[in-house]
Amino acid sequence: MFAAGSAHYLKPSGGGTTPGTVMFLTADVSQDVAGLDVSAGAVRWALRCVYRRHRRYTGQVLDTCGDDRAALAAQVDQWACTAEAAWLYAYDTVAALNATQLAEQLCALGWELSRQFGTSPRAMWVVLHKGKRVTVRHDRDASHGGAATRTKWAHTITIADARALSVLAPRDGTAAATDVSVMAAAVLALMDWWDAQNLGRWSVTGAALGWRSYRATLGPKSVVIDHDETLLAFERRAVYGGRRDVAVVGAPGAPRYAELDFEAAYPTIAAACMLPCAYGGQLPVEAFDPSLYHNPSIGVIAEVTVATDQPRWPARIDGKVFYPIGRFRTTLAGPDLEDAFEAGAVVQVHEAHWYRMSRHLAAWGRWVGQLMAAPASVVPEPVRRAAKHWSRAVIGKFAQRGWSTRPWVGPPCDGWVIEQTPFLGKTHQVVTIGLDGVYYLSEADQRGDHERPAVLAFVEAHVRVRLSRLIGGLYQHAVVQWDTDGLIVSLPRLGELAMRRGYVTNRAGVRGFDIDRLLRQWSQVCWPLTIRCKTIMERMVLYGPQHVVSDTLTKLAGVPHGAVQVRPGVYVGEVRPRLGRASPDDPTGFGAATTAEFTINGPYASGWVLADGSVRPPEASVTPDGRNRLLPWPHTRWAHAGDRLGPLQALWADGLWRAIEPQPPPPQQQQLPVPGRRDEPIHDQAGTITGRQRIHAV
Amino acid sequence: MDLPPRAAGLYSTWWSFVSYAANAVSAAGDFLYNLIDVSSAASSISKSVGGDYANYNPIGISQLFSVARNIAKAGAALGSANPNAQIDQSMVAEAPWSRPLVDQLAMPSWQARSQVTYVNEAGQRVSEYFTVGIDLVLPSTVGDLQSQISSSLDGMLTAGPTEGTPRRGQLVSVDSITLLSV
Repeated sequence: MFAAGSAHYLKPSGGGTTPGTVMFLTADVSQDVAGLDVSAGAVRWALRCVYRRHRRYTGQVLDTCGDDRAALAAQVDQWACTAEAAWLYAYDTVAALNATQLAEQLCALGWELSRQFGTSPRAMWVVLHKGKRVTVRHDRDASHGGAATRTKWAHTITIADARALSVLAPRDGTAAATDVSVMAAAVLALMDWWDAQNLGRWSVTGAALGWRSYRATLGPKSVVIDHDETLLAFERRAVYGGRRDVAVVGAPGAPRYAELDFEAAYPTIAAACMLPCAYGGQLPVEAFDPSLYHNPSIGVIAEVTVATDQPRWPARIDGKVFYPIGRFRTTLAGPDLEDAFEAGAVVQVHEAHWYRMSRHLAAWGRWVGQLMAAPASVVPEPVRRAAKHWSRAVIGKFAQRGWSTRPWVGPPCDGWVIEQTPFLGKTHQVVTIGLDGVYYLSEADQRGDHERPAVLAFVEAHVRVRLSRLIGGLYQHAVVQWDTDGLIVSLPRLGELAMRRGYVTNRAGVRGFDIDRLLRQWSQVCWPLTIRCKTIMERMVLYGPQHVVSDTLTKLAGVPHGAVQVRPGVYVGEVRPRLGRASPDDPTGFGAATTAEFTINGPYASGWVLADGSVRPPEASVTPDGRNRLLPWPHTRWAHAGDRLGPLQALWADGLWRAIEPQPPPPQQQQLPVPGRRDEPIHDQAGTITGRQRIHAV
Repeated sequence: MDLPPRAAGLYSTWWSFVSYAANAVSAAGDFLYNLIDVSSAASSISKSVGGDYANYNPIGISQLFSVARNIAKAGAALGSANPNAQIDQSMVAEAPWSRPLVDQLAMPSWQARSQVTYVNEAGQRVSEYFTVGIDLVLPSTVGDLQSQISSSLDGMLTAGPTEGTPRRGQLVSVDSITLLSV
């Protein structure tokens, strides 16, 4: 049993409002401005201050610009000191602080680093404060026996990245980097709307705002958050991310494909399904009763051994997630577990725990779904974009590790130090941040006040089960790729299969395939989710589930946003190898952006890639000590059946197969393969995507 | 660490310079600069640069140099030790920025400043300093320390972007380690 007594109720959002004084900063981070003496420390900047609520200046909007770093800091200091709490948004915090040295300059004006900061691979935020006042407390003693003191600050300034709010349209990205009015319009629109909805205190990131919006819909004592690390670790084992893979690598089938996806999958599940709200207890595995699933107020997460011929349930093998066939041990949340029991795939239950279920996310899920679907005339565009971000981020937040921050020590330094600081024996992330010799250490050590990974595990499982119904259903031979809440189908193949089943239209005397009716039927199968056609593509090349290049859609995971194709399979994008200065001894300052080449040289499939490009799921077995292992290729059922392995495999297969001499390519087939068997060769003349192509989605 | 008052007065301005000078070694591994070199250079800098650097006194510099040289010697001792050797006091130096003694006793902690060569995300081979933290207990041998630090840095550099690391790269080598008690 898990330890009891370390739990609390998730609190509904309290009061509060958005910031009253907000500044917006753009800086020419390229430093490539004619007539500017960069060597003398000049940088062109523009600053806007909006007094949204202020005892004297409400409604005033002040603009200034210049090319002197000290002048910028003096202006920020002056405006920030007119308020108790001011916020400053930059388009790219790291680049802007690097170019302007604003934080260092503010320190010279008496500002100090606080323990509130955050970093991510792409952005950072930090709170500085000024005007320290220490007062003696009369209501308690300090731990060392003397009088306890309370520190107050006259002014704080939160420096945050506007991109972290996810309110800027992709087309506005470049403009927002150089034009404060573009950035200000989007951020202020969200702030005004937030106040109008009375959603409470403002936060630095979009995910945190979304979380507050969820807590604003929460009743008291609705969700119990446990701090038992063993319990959290168990729940986390049932979190896998979405199901993703490809049925074929290369150019699959005949031209013309459709990208289909579930509309607002996570908030829809949140709105319609019961989800865990509190830990119940451990269940005896000897007499484990699958009929528990029919009680909607109970949800189960269990560690089971599965034996299956369908690649349908996730499992971790050597730290990576696979959807294997064969026999394996895995931890499954409610919907997946029910699916596995119904398929007769569960051969043993090792450990099971039950959870109380409720609709604590239902109101929020409906609300976010409505925001995303509302017309622009009703809900401002930045709000709709933010809501879309919240729809993904809030449920993920249930599994996000908590961070704790403590003062730390380091050598004296001028300016910033941001350093990832691995600790021996600690597997979680630790970051050190320092400004002018004041250091803090922040670690993701699982002490969050929001962690209930079971919620994410159930939502993921709900979506995964519905996606699996489509991938493994009657139309499986038309499905070529799937990723979390969407899939790509070959339209000719899907049409042929659908018309055989009566999905036929007759327009102007021409018989055709009624995709609308088919999608309605699929939506019924996947209730409460509804599936829609998102993109039509003429030609496509699949390298893996997250590496798709077509004439209208390009997904290349790992390649930076905005990268440009310079030759087939090779992209050039901008990277910032380092977020911050590595240490006080590092003379290079903040990591400068540089360009790098990214070569797409898959396959990136999670299964075996055969000589004809089709993909077979990996096969697993359980060792006597209960660990999963992947079978080497020669021991798989595919090898025994005579399948020929392709010359290239994904990295996961290293050591499980031996490369073979490349064979001459088979002649390309013009005709569609006959549906019904997935192992038939599927090739066509889909062309290589050439020319300069900009990445829109990664 | 409580520095002597004169050293404490120079610490925030001069530490970087003194630390560099005390740690610089020739290709043969000999220290390049002694106290006389450093004092002379510091005196010259204080006159020519001015500003914060105008605050200079030779006694404070010599006290700082002594602390920095102890750190350099500890690093050299650790670097030349047999991998099977136990980590002893000669291989660990107290950092001038260390916490108060009562905190150190309550929760011992070390910083391993490691000079690392790696290939960064842009494909460039770079050499940088990383700090690896160690709480409560040091690895038992020099070899254990080196392998654990190497493994820890490799994990940090190769972790995927979704795991929140700002750097991605491929570790080439850990070139030196200086162990500081903080």
